[in-house]
Amino acid sequence: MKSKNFTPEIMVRFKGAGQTRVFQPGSTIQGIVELNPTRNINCRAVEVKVGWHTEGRGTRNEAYMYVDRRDDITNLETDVPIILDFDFVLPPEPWSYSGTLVSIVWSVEVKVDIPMGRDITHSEPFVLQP
Amino acid sequence: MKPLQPYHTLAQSAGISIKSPHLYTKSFPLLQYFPIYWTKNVLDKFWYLLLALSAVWMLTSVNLIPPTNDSLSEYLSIILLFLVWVGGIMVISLALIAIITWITSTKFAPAELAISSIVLRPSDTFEIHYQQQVKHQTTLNSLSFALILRESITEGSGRSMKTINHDTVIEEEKMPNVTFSPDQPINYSHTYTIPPDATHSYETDSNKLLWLLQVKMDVPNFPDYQREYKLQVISEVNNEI
Repeated sequence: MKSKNFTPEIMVRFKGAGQTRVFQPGSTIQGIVELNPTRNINCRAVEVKVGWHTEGRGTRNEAYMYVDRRDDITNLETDVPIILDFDFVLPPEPWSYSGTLVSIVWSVEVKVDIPMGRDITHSEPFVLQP
Repeated sequence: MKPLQPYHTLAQSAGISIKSPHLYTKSFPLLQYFPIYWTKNVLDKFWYLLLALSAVWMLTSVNLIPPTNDSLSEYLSIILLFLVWVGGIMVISLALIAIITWITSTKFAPAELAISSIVLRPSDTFEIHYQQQVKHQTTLNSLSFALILRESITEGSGRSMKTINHDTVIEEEKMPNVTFSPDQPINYSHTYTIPPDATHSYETDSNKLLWLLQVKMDVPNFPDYQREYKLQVISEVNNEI
């Protein structure tokens, strides 16, 4: 899925998940993050995280088990795509849940850390379910 | 299916804390058997009302007493009177709790729940037997047993902190107009199944997914009785089916 209104354009592709993007607890989630800059951007790092967070009226809970911070990427150049792999064994819980007051959402989060500016972020949800 | 065992024994061994649903029950353990929610709501409102009246009274008193040379001691005496007043309110509240506890105990004895398992997986089946002695012949408007999944969130902080619940009833049996007597106590047995697509229990300070067995009694002209027993649904798949 393509991110909207972001520079650079960020895409996350899952390997072997199909359209449903359902992963079994304990299985391996693999994929790539593709950044396609449409202008030159100076950044401190690019970060790819896999984890879960709660959504709803209560205080947000979150946990990221896979964090790959690439401090060596400090410059994104126009039309020079950057591809990052992620490969992570998912934990047994918590399972994805969509409720009335609270939801548990698993996602791959991508962040371009911009110095003295708003970070560029993108979130790609997936489902953890047996 | 495993043999039935007392709920509190299994809860203890599973590390499930049998928390009283409200602060009042911590001071008055007997209250855990009684209509906590009714008590809580009434007493909370009662407290707010009396505290508001106290504040009005104190402000009025301050205005009524003109400042004099000895005004400091007068203000101190007003503060002391206010503290005595608040203390009085607390005593009245505790007396009310004791009275409600006593009134309710004239009708029901403590409940006994036996359950085959409280640590469950989706698709698991468990059996319960609920028994409660009544002290006099009592006709209930309704008696219900339900397996529920509760979403519970806490928002805000301090005095403005509030908890909001949303219950999804998985299975419920409601029995209208049932009569019980000392010779014929409440005896209920049932077998429940955790749905195969159910989620597991999840609990943090602010977000909770709780599996509960809920017992509710609508008692005519009397505070309603409600008791909940927490179950632990774990994130394992039942491969035996």
